[in-house]
Amino acid sequence: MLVLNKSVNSIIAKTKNFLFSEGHFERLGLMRVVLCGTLLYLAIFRQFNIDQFTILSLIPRSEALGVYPDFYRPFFEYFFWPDQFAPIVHAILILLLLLATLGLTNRPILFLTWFISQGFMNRNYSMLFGADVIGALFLFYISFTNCTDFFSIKKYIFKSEKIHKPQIFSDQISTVFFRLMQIQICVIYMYTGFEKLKGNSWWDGTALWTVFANPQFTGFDLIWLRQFPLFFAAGTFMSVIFEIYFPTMILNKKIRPYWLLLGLFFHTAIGITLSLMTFSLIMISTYFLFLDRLDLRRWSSHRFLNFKK
Amino acid sequence: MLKKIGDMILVAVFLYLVSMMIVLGNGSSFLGRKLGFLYTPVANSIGLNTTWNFFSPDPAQTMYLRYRILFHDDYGNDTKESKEKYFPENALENNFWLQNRRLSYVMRFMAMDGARIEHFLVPWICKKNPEATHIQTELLLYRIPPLDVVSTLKQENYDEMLNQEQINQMTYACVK
Repeated sequence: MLVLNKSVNSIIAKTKNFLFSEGHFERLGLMRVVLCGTLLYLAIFRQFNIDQFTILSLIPRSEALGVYPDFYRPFFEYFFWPDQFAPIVHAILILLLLLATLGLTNRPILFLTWFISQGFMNRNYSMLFGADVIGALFLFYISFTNCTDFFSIKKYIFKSEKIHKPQIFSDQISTVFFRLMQIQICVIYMYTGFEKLKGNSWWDGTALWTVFANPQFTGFDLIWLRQFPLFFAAGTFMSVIFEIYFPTMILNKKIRPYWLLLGLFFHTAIGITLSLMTFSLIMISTYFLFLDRLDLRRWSSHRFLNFKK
Repeated sequence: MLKKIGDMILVAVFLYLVSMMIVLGNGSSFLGRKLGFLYTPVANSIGLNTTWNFFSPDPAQTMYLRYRILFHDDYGNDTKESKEKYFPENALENNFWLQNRRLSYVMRFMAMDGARIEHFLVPWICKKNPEATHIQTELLLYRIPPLDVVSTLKQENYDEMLNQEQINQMTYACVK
C-alpha cells in the first residue's frame, strides 16, 4: 500500500513538474512573433481575395458550413458579421495580427483574433491553405499563454521582468497550453508521415518527383532533375522518415537540436522550391517551443534585442 | 482546496485535448468512430478536427478547369460567340502570388466533386455573365509521367511525354 501510495505521489509530482514548473516566456514570445507575423502576411494577401468572403463569393453564406465534410463541420458559424462588413472585419483582423506580432496584445484580445480568423476560415472553406489551418490552431493554443512577456514591445514599454509563479492559476494555464502545443506539433508530424505511407508514390520513393514536376506546385523548372532519379528517391524517403520519427527524436535531448536543424532545412527547402514559405514558417515557429529557454534569454540580451533596457 | 481543484481541472483539460489530438488525427479509424462523439463537438469548434495529410496519400496531378460561356436562343442557336476561359482566369500562368494560389485551391476543391461545379461555380459564372445561357465545363488533367520513364528516356522531350486528358465535360444551363 505504501509503495502504491509512493508511486501515485511520484506520478502526481512528475505531472505537476511537467505541466506547471517552467514559465517558457522566451520560447512563447519568439513563437508568437513568427506565428502571428506569418498569419499577418497571409491575412494581408487574403485582403486581395476579400470578395470571396462577401455576397460575391462562390460559396453563398447559407452554404458556408454545408460545404464542409460532415465529420469536420463546425457546430456554429464563427462569422458573426454580415457579408457586407467582411472587408472591414478583415481589416480589423489584420490590425489585431499586427498588434499580436508586436506583442501589444493580451489573452482575451488574442482569443478574439483567433475567433475572427476562424470566422474567415469557416466562411470560405474552399480556399484554405494548410498554413491557415495549422496557423489558426496554434493561434488558439497560444491565446491561452503568456506569450507577450518576452520579445514584445509591451515588455519594452513597461520594462517589467515577468517571473513565473507556478502556484498561480493564470500561469498554470499558460504552461499547460505550452505543453499542448509541443505535443500537437509532434502529433501533426507523426500523422502526416503515416498518411504518406498510404500513398503508393511515397512508398515507391517517387512522390517528390510528382511534386517537383507539377508546374502548379513549383515556380521553378525542375524537370532537369530527372537526370538524378536517386535524388527523388532519397528525398521522398527522408521526408517520410523525418515526419514519422519527429516525436521520438524530439524526446531525445541529444538528438533534438539535429532533428530541428533537419526540419529547418526541410521546411526552408519546401518553402523555396514549392513557394510554400508561409506554411514553412508556421511549422518552423513551433520549433522555438523546443529550444533551450536560457539560450534564448542569452540571445535576447544581445545589445540589439535587449528589450529590458 | 481551490488550488487542488484548479490543478485537477487543468490536468483533465490537458489529458482530454491530448487524447483528442491522437484519436481525431485518425478520425476514420475504429477508435475515431467509437470515441468521436466525445471529441467532435469541441474539435470541430476549435479547428482541431483535421486529418494531417499534406501531399498525401499521393501528390496531386496537374489540373486545369476550363469553361465555355455559351449564348443560345430558345432554339439552341448561338446568339453570340462563345467565350473560353479558365478558372482562375490566369491559371495557365502558374502565378504563385498568394491571392492567385487561393483561387487555384478553390479550383481543386471544385474539381474534386462535379456537384460543386454545378452548385457553386456555374451559378457564379452565370451571375458574372448575365447574358450567358449555358456553361460548359471540363477538367484538363496532365498526368505526370513516372520517374522510371523520364529518367530512362532522358533525351526525350519532356512535354511530349505528358499525357493530357479532358474529363468530366458537362454543360449546365444558367437559371434565370
